[in-house]
Amino acid sequence: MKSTNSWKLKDILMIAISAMLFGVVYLGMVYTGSYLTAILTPFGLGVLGYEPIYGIWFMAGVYTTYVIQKPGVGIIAEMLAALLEVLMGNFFGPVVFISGFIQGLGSELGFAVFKYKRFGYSSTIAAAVGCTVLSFIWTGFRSAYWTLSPALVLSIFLIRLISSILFCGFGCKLLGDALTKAGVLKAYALGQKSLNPDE
Amino acid sequence: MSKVNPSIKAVTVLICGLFISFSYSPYLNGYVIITCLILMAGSGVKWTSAGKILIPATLAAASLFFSALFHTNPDQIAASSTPSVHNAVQLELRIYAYSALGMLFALTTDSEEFIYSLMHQLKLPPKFAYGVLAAYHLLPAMKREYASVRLAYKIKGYHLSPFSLRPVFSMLVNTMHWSENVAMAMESKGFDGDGPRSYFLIPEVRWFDKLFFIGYTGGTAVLLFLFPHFPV
Repeated sequence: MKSTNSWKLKDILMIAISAMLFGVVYLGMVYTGSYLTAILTPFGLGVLGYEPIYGIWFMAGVYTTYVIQKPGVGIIAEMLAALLEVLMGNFFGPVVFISGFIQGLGSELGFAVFKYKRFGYSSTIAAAVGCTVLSFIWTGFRSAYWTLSPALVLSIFLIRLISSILFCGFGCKLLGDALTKAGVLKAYALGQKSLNPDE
Repeated sequence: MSKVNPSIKAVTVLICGLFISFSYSPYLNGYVIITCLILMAGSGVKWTSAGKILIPATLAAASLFFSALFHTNPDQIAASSTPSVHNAVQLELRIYAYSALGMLFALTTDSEEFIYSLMHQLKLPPKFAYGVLAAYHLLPAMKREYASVRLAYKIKGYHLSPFSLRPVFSMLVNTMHWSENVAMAMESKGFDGDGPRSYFLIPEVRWFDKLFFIGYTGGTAVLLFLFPHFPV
């Protein structure tokens, strides 16, 4: 692992473009979420509609941290993702900077549990859980979850957790490994590890 | 409104958004919605683009409305005789207030000006600012590429569920190439993220930016403290 903390333009672009990509993927799936929301709304369960795809929000942070393996990458990635959201005209506007920071922090906490030294399923899943817990507290605060029934709030949390673990815990790890195999990550920590496995 | 410094506007909107999160008052939400609409009207916003933003916002508001209507926790809002209706209205208004703030910002701000302003007012390093700008301008190409990658998989006979990560993988390979190529292109044009550089446009903070910031956050804060709770 490199100890240098200076950011290369290429890394920043990689993070920003990946964040953008996950944004596009999310937009592709948002129809599914809107459809679900519209169906569930008359039953009073509309708030659950977007939860199955919530994990995609966290992918930018978890994926880039898994590839670059430096502290701080997750927060930067999520903040850049939030900035891109704002540029694209997200209807929540600049408040998503805070959401981005909180999600990034959740991802960082997950990787920090393993001191940014071990990068495997355990760390990506820990990051996924971190993102879920922190983002849940934040959205709960913003949408006043405490005024809703505990059963509904619990199901929000569980669905988001499952989505996050599937997309980030497993999805990001699998994507990172597949890209390493394809040989396109040689410039990054994850790809370099595969070059000298004794490390 | 489009003349107000974008960073100042963003910070103002951000702070007011936080105020709404702290409050449980329909007055505050109503005030934010109405003032945002007035400000938007005053700055000649296209209402069709506002409508486009309002569709997802309305869906979100409606879903929260019905959720609150059917699943309100009565212990928390005991003061009212019809707690679920009150709670539903309050939460719906809150979503609209958030989106009014978001729209006010999105529809009166030029993205490039916002990035320039972030560099000068909020000290975002140029490396990040121009990196994000480059990624932002890749968006149309990326959407096209994503659609054609999905199509390519379909032609090869793969069945793709909307949750499939296969096209994401192909796209990430492209991402690596794009980031390398764009970085090389920028550096070959003499881009150096660390040294001093000249700027095409330097946004300034003028008196009316400060006035807007103080006036708007101040007004919201006063309402927040006057009506912190839901009137019964």
